[in-house]
Amino acid sequence: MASKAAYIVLLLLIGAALFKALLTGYLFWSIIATWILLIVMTPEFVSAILSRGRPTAATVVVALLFVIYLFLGPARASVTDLNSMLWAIPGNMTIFGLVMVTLLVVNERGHGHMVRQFLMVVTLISYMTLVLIQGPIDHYLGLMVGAMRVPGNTEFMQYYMLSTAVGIALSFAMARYMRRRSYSMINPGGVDWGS
Amino acid sequence: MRLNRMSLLVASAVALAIMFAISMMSGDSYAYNTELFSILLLAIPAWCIARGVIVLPWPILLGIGLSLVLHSLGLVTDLYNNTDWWDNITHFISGITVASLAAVVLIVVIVSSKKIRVPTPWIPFLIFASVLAMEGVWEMLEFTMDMIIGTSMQHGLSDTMGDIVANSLSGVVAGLGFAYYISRASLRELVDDLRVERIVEWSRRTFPD
Repeated sequence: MASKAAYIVLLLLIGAALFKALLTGYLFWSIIATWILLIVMTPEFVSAILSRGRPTAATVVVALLFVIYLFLGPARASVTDLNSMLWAIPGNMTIFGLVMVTLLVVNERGHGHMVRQFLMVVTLISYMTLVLIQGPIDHYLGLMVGAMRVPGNTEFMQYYMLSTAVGIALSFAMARYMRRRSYSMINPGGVDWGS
Repeated sequence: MRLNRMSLLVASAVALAIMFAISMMSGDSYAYNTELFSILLLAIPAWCIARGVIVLPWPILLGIGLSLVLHSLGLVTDLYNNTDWWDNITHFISGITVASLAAVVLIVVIVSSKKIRVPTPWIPFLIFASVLAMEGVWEMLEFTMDMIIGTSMQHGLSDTMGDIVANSLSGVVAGLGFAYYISRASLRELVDDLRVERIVEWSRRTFPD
């Protein structure tokens, strides 16, 4: 019952995020919100994550951060239009969490097998890729509609460097978390947390 | 085959040495330092071939040589500043090279590891992601160098965005090329040809799966 309620809350939060992203014209964040929605609807996600309390709570918290980020963070559809660079962190955490959960789901579906370190390296690389292509998406889309959505090279590079630092910190934090929970696996068939 | 591989590296080193001499004569310190560093970089795969360890396939060696030579050529002839497209070409070719190296590392990890099993459709995506992550690291390096020692490696936002797009294209091309390759070739044979047994043994001892 509790997990069903958590799942409904999760869907409502992601729905709100997608609505806000579409309304404001954020192409990148609309893609991210749609991606999150698709992932949380997969049977692998529902059976593996929602069956456990802490991963469910963590997913809801990240979704909440995403909603807060989209509603209170950037004022316009711009990669760096933030009151403070610290506002980028909830967005970064959302992307990192999404990438990691996607890897776990795809791994489960494809009957793959990963060790903890390999999972974190692949997560970090994929996260850095996603944050990097946010630049050209916003830049070229902005040019198409006659707006400068990425204000400048320095601003973009500072955003990217901060995001990379956040990604590295999250990778170490997750690796540490997994090591301490060697026997409570989110994805028993796929990831060897303890190694 | 070993001689052909070495010939590719020697030819690239000779081209770089000529450009190094030209840059020295013109007094362009950034250019001649880059060419010197490139020659030293080429010495790594040459040393590996000579020792019979990590013998990279010749297309990858060609890619390494071409990436370094074209970059230096752009500096010597000022093509980076005189044209809009030179930077995109060098990023595209170096992106393919980085993708190939990432593919080799992935194949070795997948074939040699007893605990890691990566679904095959993932691999082109992982190659794409590796190229763009390396591109990100490269852009951060350029930005930091520009800020700290005043080089002008980045030429503004449009240039950075163009570089990212060029590398994205090379990641897609390399990912598709790799997908085609694994549909026809044996990964085990490729790993055997690389002669990485000693490194694999060392990594098994140092980082047990």
